[in-house]
Amino acid sequence: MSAPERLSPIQWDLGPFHALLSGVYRLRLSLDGEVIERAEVETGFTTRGVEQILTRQSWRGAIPFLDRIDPDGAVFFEWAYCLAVEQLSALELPRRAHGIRVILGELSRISSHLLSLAKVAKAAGAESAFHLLIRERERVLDLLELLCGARHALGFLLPGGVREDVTEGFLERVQEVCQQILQRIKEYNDLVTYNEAFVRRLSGRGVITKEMVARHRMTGIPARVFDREQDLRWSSSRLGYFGLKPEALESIEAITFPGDVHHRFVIRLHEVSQSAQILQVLSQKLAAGPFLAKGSAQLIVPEGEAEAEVETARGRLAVRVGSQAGRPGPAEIQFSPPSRALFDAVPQYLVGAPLQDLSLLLQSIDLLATEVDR
Amino acid sequence: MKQGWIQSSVSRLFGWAQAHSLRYFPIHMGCCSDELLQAVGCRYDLERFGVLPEVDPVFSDLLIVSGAITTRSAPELKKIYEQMPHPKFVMAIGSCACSGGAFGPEATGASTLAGLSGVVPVDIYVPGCPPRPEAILEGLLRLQDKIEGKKTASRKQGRKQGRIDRLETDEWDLR
Repeated sequence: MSAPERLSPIQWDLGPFHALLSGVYRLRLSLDGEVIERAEVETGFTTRGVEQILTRQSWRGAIPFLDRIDPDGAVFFEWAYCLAVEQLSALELPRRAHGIRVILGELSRISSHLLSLAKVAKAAGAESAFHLLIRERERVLDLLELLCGARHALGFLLPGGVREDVTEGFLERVQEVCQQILQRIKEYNDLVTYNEAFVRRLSGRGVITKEMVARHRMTGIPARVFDREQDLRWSSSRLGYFGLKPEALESIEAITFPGDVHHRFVIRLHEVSQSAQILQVLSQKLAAGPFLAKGSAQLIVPEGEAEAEVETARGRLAVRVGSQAGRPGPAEIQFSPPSRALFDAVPQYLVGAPLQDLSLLLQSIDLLATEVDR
Repeated sequence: MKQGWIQSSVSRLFGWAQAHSLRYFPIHMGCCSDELLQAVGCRYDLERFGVLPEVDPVFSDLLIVSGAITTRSAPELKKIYEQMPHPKFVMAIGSCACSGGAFGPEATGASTLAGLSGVVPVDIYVPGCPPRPEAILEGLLRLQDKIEGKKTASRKQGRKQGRIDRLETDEWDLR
């Protein structure tokens, strides 16, 4: 009897609309039995040409379109754009505007992280954890609604500051919600994070090594697994995190495998608590004064080009804005979203993974197709 | 006379059963996907109306589409719709899926369509950018009314205007 012949690998196309995928993109898998041998990603199904649309808008009129690029972290795209425009027109931002922006940014970060955690929990089969995390997210969205009147598409930032001052009673409610989130995180740790079944399901799977991070220039959680300092919030002075850096940024050890899905889950949950602590501090000592810079009503933008970088919930977002004399809005705008690097890493990341882990692996790096397609 | 009574009762029963066990297949192409997820969460809890997400279009009754309909994804969307068994219903969430919204063809040029109705027949529209979970719930309740026989809008009109026939060809025509 001869040895059994090795079957040729099965080709399997997933997407662009598939429940396993975390967005609209196509995944071409080549399977050996149940193990993924090769993977290819195809994006571009939701290309709307946002950058092109923005060049037809005024400086302020571009803000609402920026909200619709990233659904759960709308403020980050606004923030990056506003920073670039402020650099172009040399506006000096008041301390209070910085503070309100940081509050919004941290609230969005919590909301985005909670959503991502909920998706990972759902992919792992922890249905109750999904509902608990979504419950917490509702509280954060309520806060955003209290401040901006919208839950997702905020449209709150302006070049030179923010649209409104904080609502009465907002800062007290931020305190309240952060207190509650910090308490609930202890609950989650007991219920989900260090649950034996959950740890076994997640650990050792989807390892992103240091080499992969360096090769694909990944930022955000996959990079911070190895180096907690890789964060623009602490390294960039333009973002306005003055003296808000936590004292200890010690690295968190993995239970089983550094860089696996569970390690990223723990770090993401830790970042939620870190953001809640920042908010607690900031809501107590928000600087008084104006919330809009002088001269931002009649924005004078000289000809030139400016760049800005922001740390979103997914990683580093860079934007380049160009202006021309006599134009009422941006002449050129280009984004470099954090999900680009994550999508680049997917083919290498998925190789060798069994098929039943596919959803878990894809959800755990928090891909967003709309941000890449734009 | 008695036969007619039985028939109408049975069809009412079927309508009631269909309306309260809607399994939906979500297609998320924009921001409104987040609000649908929040609606599944414990505060709004779609499950109490019998509405649950389904992972396969072959087993689902309702197609929920959110976000701008791009020309590239529209043929794929049509394929998903054709996989679904009858009776099937379609719900458009958000301004983009309803009528193009901020990312309609006037804004983007050729890359998007003016709403979902150019691709598949739509039963219910939920406007908003993005709509709140309450609006999505309202839309689902209206859809349940419609399935049970309390008609609010005619679905045949879309077909008469030739929106569907245009898509039978393989080549994607923008006009």
